[in-house]
Amino acid sequence: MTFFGAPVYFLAVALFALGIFGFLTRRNAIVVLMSVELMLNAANLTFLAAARGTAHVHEASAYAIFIILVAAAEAAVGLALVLALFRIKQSTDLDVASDLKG
Amino acid sequence: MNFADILAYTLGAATLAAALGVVLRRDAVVAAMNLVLSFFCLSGIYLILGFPFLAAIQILVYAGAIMVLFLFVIMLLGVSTLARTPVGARSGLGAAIALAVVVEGAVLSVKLASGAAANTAATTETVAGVSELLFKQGLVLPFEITGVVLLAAMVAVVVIGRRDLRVRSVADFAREHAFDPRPLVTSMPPPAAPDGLDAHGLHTNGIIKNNARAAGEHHNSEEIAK
Repeated sequence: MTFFGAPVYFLAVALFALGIFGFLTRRNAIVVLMSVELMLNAANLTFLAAARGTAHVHEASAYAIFIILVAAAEAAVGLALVLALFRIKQSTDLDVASDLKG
Repeated sequence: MNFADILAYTLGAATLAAALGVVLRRDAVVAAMNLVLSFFCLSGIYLILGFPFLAAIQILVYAGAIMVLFLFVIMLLGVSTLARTPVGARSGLGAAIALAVVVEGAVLSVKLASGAAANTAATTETVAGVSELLFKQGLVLPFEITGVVLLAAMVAVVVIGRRDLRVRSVADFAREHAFDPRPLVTSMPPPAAPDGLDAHGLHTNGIIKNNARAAGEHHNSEEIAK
Protein backbone atom coordinates (compact mmCIF):
# COMPACT_ATOMS: atom_id res chain seq x y z
CA MET A 1 0.00 0.00 0.00
CA THR A 2 1.49 3.27 -1.08
CA PHE A 3 2.20 5.82 1.60
CA PHE A 4 0.75 8.71 -0.34
CA GLY A 5 -2.87 7.71 -0.19
CA ALA A 6 -4.64 7.46 3.13
CA PRO A 7 -1.56 6.72 5.31
CA VAL A 8 -0.08 10.19 4.94
CA TYR A 9 -3.38 11.68 6.11
CA PHE A 10 -3.42 9.20 8.99
CA LEU A 11 0.01 10.48 9.96
CA ALA A 12 -1.22 14.07 9.90
CA VAL A 13 -4.28 13.16 11.97
CA ALA A 14 -2.14 11.33 14.52
CA LEU A 15 0.22 14.29 14.78
CA PHE A 16 -2.70 16.66 15.27
CA ALA A 17 -4.25 14.41 17.91
CA LEU A 18 -0.95 14.19 19.77
CA GLY A 19 -0.73 17.98 19.64
CA ILE A 20 -4.24 18.34 21.06
CA PHE A 21 -3.47 15.80 23.77
CA GLY A 22 -0.32 17.65 24.80
CA PHE A 23 -2.08 21.00 24.61
CA LEU A 24 -4.88 19.88 26.90
CA THR A 25 -2.96 17.80 29.43
CA ARG A 26 0.47 19.33 29.93
CA ARG A 27 0.84 22.05 32.51
CA ASN A 28 4.11 23.61 31.40
CA ALA A 29 3.63 26.61 29.13
CA ILE A 30 6.64 25.78 26.95
CA VAL A 31 5.48 22.23 26.28
CA VAL A 32 2.00 23.56 25.47
CA LEU A 33 3.56 25.85 22.85
CA MET A 34 5.47 22.87 21.43
CA SER A 35 2.19 20.98 21.13
CA VAL A 36 0.76 23.88 19.14
CA GLU A 37 3.76 23.59 16.81
CA LEU A 38 2.95 19.90 16.34
CA MET A 39 -0.61 20.76 15.33
CA LEU A 40 0.56 23.40 12.86
CA ASN A 41 2.93 20.86 11.31
CA ALA A 42 0.07 18.40 10.92
CA ALA A 43 -1.91 21.07 9.07
CA ASN A 44 1.08 21.71 6.81
CA LEU A 45 1.46 18.03 6.04
CA THR A 46 -2.21 17.78 5.11
CA PHE A 47 -1.92 20.74 2.75
CA LEU A 48 1.10 19.30 0.99
CA ALA A 49 -0.20 15.76 0.80
CA ALA A 50 -3.49 16.93 -0.66
CA ALA A 51 -1.74 19.04 -3.30
CA ARG A 52 0.76 16.35 -4.31
CA GLY A 53 0.63 15.59 -8.00
CA THR A 54 -2.04 18.18 -8.79
CA ALA A 55 -1.61 21.46 -10.62
CA HIS A 56 -1.70 23.33 -7.31
CA VAL A 57 1.63 22.36 -5.77
CA HIS A 58 2.84 25.93 -5.74
CA GLU A 59 -0.28 27.27 -4.07
CA ALA A 60 0.00 24.60 -1.38
CA SER A 61 3.65 25.43 -0.93
CA ALA A 62 2.89 29.13 -0.55
CA TYR A 63 0.18 28.46 2.02
CA ALA A 64 2.51 26.15 3.92
CA ILE A 65 5.05 28.97 3.99
CA PHE A 66 2.38 31.26 5.42
CA ILE A 67 1.59 28.68 8.10
CA ILE A 68 5.27 28.38 9.03
CA LEU A 69 5.47 32.16 9.25
CA VAL A 70 2.45 32.41 11.53
CA ALA A 71 3.94 29.63 13.64
CA ALA A 72 7.15 31.60 13.99
CA ALA A 73 5.30 34.74 15.06
CA GLU A 74 3.17 32.73 17.47
CA ALA A 75 6.21 31.06 19.01
CA ALA A 76 7.97 34.40 19.49
CA VAL A 77 4.98 36.08 21.16
CA GLY A 78 4.17 32.98 23.20
CA LEU A 79 7.70 32.63 24.52
CA ALA A 80 7.78 36.33 25.40
CA LEU A 81 4.59 35.76 27.38
CA VAL A 82 6.21 32.76 29.09
CA LEU A 83 9.15 34.98 30.05
CA ALA A 84 6.80 37.61 31.47
CA LEU A 85 4.87 34.93 33.35
CA PHE A 86 8.09 33.54 34.78
CA ARG A 87 9.11 37.01 35.90
CA ILE A 88 5.88 37.44 37.85
CA LYS A 89 5.30 33.93 39.20
CA GLN A 90 8.80 32.37 39.13
CA SER A 91 7.24 29.39 37.36
CA THR A 92 6.16 28.36 33.89
CA ASP A 93 3.35 26.23 35.27
CA LEU A 94 0.08 27.32 33.71
CA ASP A 95 -1.89 26.36 36.82
CA VAL A 96 -0.30 29.12 38.88
CA ALA A 97 -1.46 31.75 36.40
CA SER A 98 -4.97 31.86 37.80
CA ASP A 99 -5.23 35.47 38.97
CA LEU A 100 -8.19 36.21 36.70
CA LYS A 101 -10.13 33.16 37.84
CA GLY A 102 -13.41 34.20 39.44
CA MET B 1 5.69 -0.95 -2.48
CA ASN B 2 8.82 0.72 -3.76
CA PHE B 3 11.76 2.34 -2.03
CA ALA B 4 10.12 5.77 -1.61
CA ASP B 5 7.18 4.19 0.16
CA ILE B 6 9.37 2.23 2.56
CA LEU B 7 11.36 5.36 3.32
CA ALA B 8 8.21 7.40 3.84
CA TYR B 9 6.72 4.78 6.19
CA THR B 10 9.95 4.75 8.20
CA LEU B 11 10.03 8.53 8.42
CA GLY B 12 6.37 8.65 9.36
CA ALA B 13 6.90 6.15 12.18
CA ALA B 14 9.89 8.14 13.41
CA THR B 15 7.82 11.34 13.28
CA LEU B 16 5.09 9.79 15.37
CA ALA B 17 7.55 8.36 17.90
CA ALA B 18 9.26 11.73 18.27
CA ALA B 19 5.90 13.50 18.64
CA LEU B 20 4.97 11.02 21.38
CA GLY B 21 8.23 11.94 23.06
CA VAL B 22 7.32 15.64 22.89
CA VAL B 23 4.00 15.04 24.58
CA LEU B 24 5.08 12.50 27.18
CA ARG B 25 8.66 13.27 28.23
CA ARG B 26 9.10 15.22 31.43
CA ASP B 27 12.38 16.92 30.62
CA ALA B 28 11.67 20.06 28.56
CA VAL B 29 15.01 19.92 26.74
CA VAL B 30 14.43 16.28 25.76
CA ALA B 31 10.94 17.21 24.56
CA ALA B 32 12.38 20.03 22.44
CA MET B 33 14.98 17.68 20.95
CA ASN B 34 12.22 15.19 20.13
CA LEU B 35 10.38 18.00 18.38
CA VAL B 36 13.49 18.78 16.33
CA LEU B 37 13.72 15.12 15.33
CA SER B 38 10.06 15.12 14.33
CA PHE B 39 10.61 18.25 12.20
CA PHE B 40 13.56 16.63 10.44
CA CYS B 41 11.52 13.51 9.67
CA LEU B 42 8.65 15.64 8.38
CA SER B 43 11.11 17.48 6.19
CA GLY B 44 12.15 14.14 4.69
CA ILE B 45 8.49 13.33 4.04
CA TYR B 46 8.05 16.70 2.28
CA LEU B 47 11.05 15.82 0.14
CA ILE B 48 9.52 12.48 -0.85
CA LEU B 49 6.18 14.18 -1.48
CA GLY B 50 7.93 16.41 -4.03
CA PHE B 51 8.35 19.67 -2.11
CA PRO B 52 12.11 20.23 -1.90
CA PHE B 53 11.88 23.97 -1.22
CA LEU B 54 9.49 23.48 1.64
CA ALA B 55 11.69 20.74 3.08
CA ALA B 56 14.55 23.24 3.18
CA ILE B 57 12.30 25.91 4.73
CA GLN B 58 11.11 23.39 7.31
CA ILE B 59 14.66 22.71 8.46
CA LEU B 60 15.84 26.32 8.25
CA VAL B 61 12.90 27.99 9.95
CA TYR B 62 11.46 25.31 12.21
CA ALA B 63 14.44 23.26 13.27
CA GLY B 64 16.78 26.21 12.95
CA ALA B 65 15.06 29.33 14.18
CA ILE B 66 11.97 28.36 16.16
CA MET B 67 13.52 25.48 18.08
CA VAL B 68 16.56 27.56 18.96
CA LEU B 69 14.13 30.10 20.41
CA PHE B 70 12.44 27.38 22.44
CA LEU B 71 15.72 25.95 23.73
CA PHE B 72 16.93 29.45 24.50
CA VAL B 73 13.92 30.16 26.69
CA ILE B 74 14.09 26.74 28.41
CA MET B 75 17.73 27.17 29.29
CA LEU B 76 17.38 30.85 30.16
CA LEU B 77 14.66 30.09 32.68
CA GLY B 78 16.29 26.90 33.92
CA VAL B 79 12.99 25.02 33.95
CA SER B 80 14.23 21.90 32.21
CA THR B 81 12.98 19.30 34.67
CA LEU B 82 9.27 19.64 35.03
CA ALA B 83 6.90 18.50 37.72
CA ARG B 84 5.10 15.27 37.08
CA THR B 85 1.72 15.88 35.49
CA PRO B 86 -0.85 14.00 37.53
CA VAL B 87 -3.05 11.56 35.66
CA GLY B 88 -6.46 12.89 36.46
CA ALA B 89 -9.68 14.08 34.97
CA ARG B 90 -7.85 16.45 32.65
CA SER B 91 -5.74 13.67 31.12
CA GLY B 92 -8.90 11.67 30.51
CA LEU B 93 -10.59 14.63 28.86
CA GLY B 94 -7.52 15.29 26.70
CA ALA B 95 -7.30 11.66 25.64
CA ALA B 96 -11.02 11.59 24.84
CA ILE B 97 -10.85 14.70 22.66
CA ALA B 98 -7.68 13.45 20.93
CA LEU B 99 -9.37 10.11 20.26
CA ALA B 100 -12.41 11.89 18.81
CA VAL B 101 -10.07 13.84 16.51
CA VAL B 102 -8.40 10.59 15.43
CA VAL B 103 -11.70 8.93 14.53
CA GLU B 104 -13.02 11.99 12.73
CA GLY B 105 -9.73 12.50 10.91
CA ALA B 106 -9.43 8.87 9.89
CA VAL B 107 -12.86 8.95 8.24
CA LEU B 108 -12.06 12.23 6.53
CA SER B 109 -8.65 11.08 5.34
CA VAL B 110 -10.03 7.91 3.76
CA LYS B 111 -12.55 10.11 1.94
CA LEU B 112 -9.87 12.61 0.90
CA ALA B 113 -7.54 9.87 -0.32
CA SER B 114 -10.21 8.14 -2.40
CA GLY B 115 -11.16 11.45 -4.00
CA ALA B 116 -7.61 12.37 -4.97
CA ALA B 117 -6.55 8.94 -6.13
CA ALA B 118 -7.05 9.80 -9.79
CA ASN B 119 -4.37 12.50 -9.77
CA THR B 120 -0.98 10.90 -10.03
CA ALA B 121 0.75 13.23 -12.45
CA ALA B 122 4.32 13.80 -11.36
CA THR B 123 4.33 17.52 -10.67
CA THR B 124 6.98 18.73 -8.27
CA GLU B 125 7.36 22.09 -6.67
CA THR B 126 10.00 24.46 -7.97
CA VAL B 127 11.37 27.57 -6.30
CA ALA B 128 10.58 29.53 -9.46
CA GLY B 129 6.95 28.51 -9.31
CA VAL B 130 6.56 29.44 -5.66
CA SER B 131 8.28 32.79 -6.08
CA GLU B 132 6.21 33.53 -9.16
CA LEU B 133 3.12 33.04 -7.04
CA LEU B 134 4.39 35.02 -4.04
CA PHE B 135 6.04 37.93 -5.78
CA LYS B 136 4.32 38.43 -9.13
CA GLN B 137 0.80 37.13 -9.18
CA GLY B 138 -1.81 35.54 -7.03
CA LEU B 139 -0.58 35.82 -3.46
CA VAL B 140 1.32 39.11 -3.50
CA LEU B 141 -1.02 40.93 -1.11
CA PRO B 142 -1.12 38.10 1.48
CA PHE B 143 2.65 37.94 1.30
CA GLU B 144 2.88 41.67 2.03
CA ILE B 145 0.49 41.21 4.95
CA THR B 146 2.72 38.52 6.42
CA GLY B 147 5.41 41.19 6.62
CA VAL B 148 3.04 43.29 8.73
CA VAL B 149 2.27 40.25 10.90
CA LEU B 150 5.97 39.68 11.53
CA LEU B 151 6.50 43.35 12.37
CA ALA B 152 3.57 43.31 14.78
CA ALA B 153 4.91 40.17 16.44
CA MET B 154 8.35 41.74 16.78
CA VAL B 155 6.98 44.91 18.38
CA ALA B 156 4.79 42.83 20.68
CA VAL B 157 7.75 40.73 21.79
CA VAL B 158 9.81 43.82 22.53
CA VAL B 159 7.00 45.38 24.55
CA ILE B 160 6.11 42.20 26.46
CA GLY B 161 9.74 41.39 27.13
CA ARG B 162 10.51 44.74 28.73
CA ARG B 163 11.96 44.41 32.17
CA ASP B 164 9.99 47.27 33.72
CA LEU B 165 6.70 45.80 32.57
CA ARG B 166 6.30 44.33 36.03
CA VAL B 167 2.81 43.59 37.21
CA ARG B 168 2.83 44.36 40.90
CA SER B 169 0.67 42.57 43.34
CA VAL B 170 -1.21 44.52 45.99
CA ALA B 171 1.20 43.26 48.65
CA ASP B 172 4.19 44.56 46.68
CA PHE B 173 2.53 47.95 46.26
CA ALA B 174 1.71 48.20 49.96
CA ARG B 175 5.23 47.20 50.91
CA GLU B 176 6.77 49.81 48.66
CA HIS B 177 4.50 52.61 49.81
CA ALA B 178 4.35 51.74 53.48
CA PHE B 179 5.15 54.38 56.06
CA ASP B 180 8.66 53.85 57.31
CA PRO B 181 9.00 55.13 60.88
CA ARG B 182 12.79 55.23 60.74
CA PRO B 183 14.22 58.73 60.32
CA LEU B 184 15.45 59.52 56.85
CA VAL B 185 18.61 61.23 58.10
CA THR B 186 20.73 59.47 60.70
CA SER B 187 23.30 61.13 62.82
CA MET B 188 26.13 59.21 61.22
CA PRO B 189 25.96 59.36 57.41
CA PRO B 190 26.84 56.06 55.72
CA PRO B 191 30.05 55.75 53.73
CA ALA B 192 29.37 56.47 50.07
CA ALA B 193 27.98 53.29 48.61
CA PRO B 194 29.46 52.52 45.21
CA ASP B 195 26.25 50.93 43.96
CA GLY B 196 24.07 53.72 42.69
CA LEU B 197 21.33 51.48 41.34
CA ASP B 198 19.86 48.48 42.99
CA ALA B 199 19.70 45.07 41.35
CA HIS B 200 16.51 45.71 39.42
CA GLY B 201 17.51 49.06 38.00
CA LEU B 202 14.68 50.58 39.95
CA HIS B 203 15.31 53.72 41.91
CA THR B 204 12.43 53.39 44.34
CA ASN B 205 13.18 53.71 48.05
CA GLY B 206 16.92 53.68 47.53
CA ILE B 207 17.28 56.25 50.27
CA ILE B 208 15.31 54.17 52.72
CA LYS B 209 17.45 51.11 51.96
CA ASN B 210 20.68 53.04 52.48
CA ASN B 211 19.37 54.48 55.71
CA ALA B 212 18.29 51.09 56.94
CA ARG B 213 21.74 49.72 56.23
CA ALA B 214 23.37 52.66 58.01
CA ALA B 215 21.07 52.27 61.02
CA GLY B 216 21.93 48.57 61.21
CA GLU B 217 25.65 49.26 61.11
CA HIS B 218 25.27 51.95 63.75
CA HIS B 219 23.37 49.59 66.01
CA ASN B 220 25.98 46.86 65.58
CA SER B 221 28.88 49.14 66.40
CA GLU B 222 27.07 50.27 69.54
CA GLU B 223 26.61 46.68 70.63
CA ILE B 224 30.26 45.91 70.00
CA ALA B 225 31.25 48.97 72.02
CA LYS B 226 29.17 47.75 74.94
